[in-house]
Amino acid sequence: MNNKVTFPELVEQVAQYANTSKRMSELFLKELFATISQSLIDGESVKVKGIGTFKLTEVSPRKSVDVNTGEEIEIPGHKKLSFAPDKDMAEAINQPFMHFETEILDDDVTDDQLAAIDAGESTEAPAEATPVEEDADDSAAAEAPAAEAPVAAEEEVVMPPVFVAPVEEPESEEAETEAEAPVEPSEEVPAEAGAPAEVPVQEPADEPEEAVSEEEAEIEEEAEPEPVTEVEPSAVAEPEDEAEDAEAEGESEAEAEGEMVSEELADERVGQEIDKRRITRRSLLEGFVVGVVTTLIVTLFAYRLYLMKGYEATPADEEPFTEHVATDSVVASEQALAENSTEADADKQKADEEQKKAEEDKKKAEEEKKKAEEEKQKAEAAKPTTASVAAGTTDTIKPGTNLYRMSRKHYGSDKFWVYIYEENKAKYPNPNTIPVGAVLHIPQLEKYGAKAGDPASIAAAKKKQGEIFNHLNKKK
Amino acid sequence: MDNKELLEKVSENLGRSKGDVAKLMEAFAEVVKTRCGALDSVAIPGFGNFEAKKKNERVVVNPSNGKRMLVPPKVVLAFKVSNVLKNRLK
Repeated sequence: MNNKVTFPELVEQVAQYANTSKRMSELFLKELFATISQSLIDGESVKVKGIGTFKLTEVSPRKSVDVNTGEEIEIPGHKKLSFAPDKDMAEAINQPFMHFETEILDDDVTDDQLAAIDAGESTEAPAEATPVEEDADDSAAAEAPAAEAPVAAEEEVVMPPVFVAPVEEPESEEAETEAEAPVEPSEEVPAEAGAPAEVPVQEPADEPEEAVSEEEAEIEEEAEPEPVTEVEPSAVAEPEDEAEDAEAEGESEAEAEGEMVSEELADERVGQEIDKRRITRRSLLEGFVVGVVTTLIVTLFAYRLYLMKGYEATPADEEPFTEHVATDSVVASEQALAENSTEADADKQKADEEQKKAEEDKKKAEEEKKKAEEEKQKAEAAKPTTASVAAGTTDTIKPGTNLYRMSRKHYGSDKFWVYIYEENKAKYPNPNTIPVGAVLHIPQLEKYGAKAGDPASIAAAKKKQGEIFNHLNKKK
Repeated sequence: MDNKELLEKVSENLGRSKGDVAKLMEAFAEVVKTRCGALDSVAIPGFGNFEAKKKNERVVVNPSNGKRMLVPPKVVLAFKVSNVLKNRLK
């Protein structure tokens, strides 16, 4: 059974059957298949009596994906040889199962019942009838030929499925031991890893990573906030390594359960050795992943810290700028900071003088600096410095603009919208429903005792905003 | 090409009578039948493998009336073409 009949054997047997010499038989077989092959290559199908039909079928080109590169490739159309056995041959081969016929299942037969029958088959002795036969009995359609002779033949043929059954049983045994086995390694882990490892064993893999990376982040922050890639995992304190080990062990347990179990059943020591080897391989990979994750977190942290510092360093009365800093890139913020400080100086020196003059000076100073800068940054930086507006400036409400944006445009802070509102209250009493196309007067902030960029003024404006909203709500 | 043509060609090439060749052919079929009937496989170098394959029983559903049917297990003769011939056929 399941033997391969080689060509010499075949030659011998054919010679025996045909009562000719082996030489004749060999010549015949070679010639036969050469002829068939040639005919097929010529594109002709071949029918051999008693064997079957060899037919060529066209396979149309189809698209596929290269397994290695992931690229789309087209498999060109080609011819495929298909074989359909002769009716006599097919029946002869199917001899052991000949007496079976397709049964129509009753509607009340559920899949579960069928599965139960299947399960029964695997536990039953090989000599037992197949489920089909049982089913035939059930439906009272049992046939006479299902007697002894076919059953005897069946015993042989049914063997393969039965061989499957013993395989399943050991598996179930393993399943039982599985429940116990993983406990052991997890007990080992805390012993090795110490305090920090306890959490990783219980928690999912992600948590220890984060915890470690936070520690790391703290360490890194003091030094260079620049990202360091693969060096990190090794450079950072030991707890990480230990935690990783624990992770690795925990994971390898979970994934490689089946194998581990069998190993441990065989020999615990050997199993542990193999595990350790597996763990080192795993921890290398995981170390890389942890490194990448921590790098990300560290850079984020550092970036935020950097921004915070920038915020503190900004002069208090230049608040509109800090808002921009928050949104701009780090480089832009640096430049803006430089400008801010000079502006602040200018402000103080010329506080008594007319504001317009001061602004003009500022503008000049800025423009000199900004020549090197990009135009975009220039525009942004310029906005807040045009803090006070020429008397009689007007602006038109367009779709998408509102008082906030208008205020930011003219004063550098959206809080000062209240003054624009105040100025135009007579015309447009509700700030939420100003029609598009409305021409609004943009007042000078001095008129309301406010100063662009002054925190006190902004606070006052906020207060006023609250009053306005209260007022509006009361009206309703 | 049907069986008759094949017989003619082979007998011509071998220089033997058609009757002899037909007998040999029958013998070959018989060998395949018995050996594959015993779930063996018959290998022919440069051509392919004849092998018997057991198909498990299965439940099929008649799409037109939704009736489920239990198809019994069976053994079928399968032919696996050798790589040599496969490449020549392309």
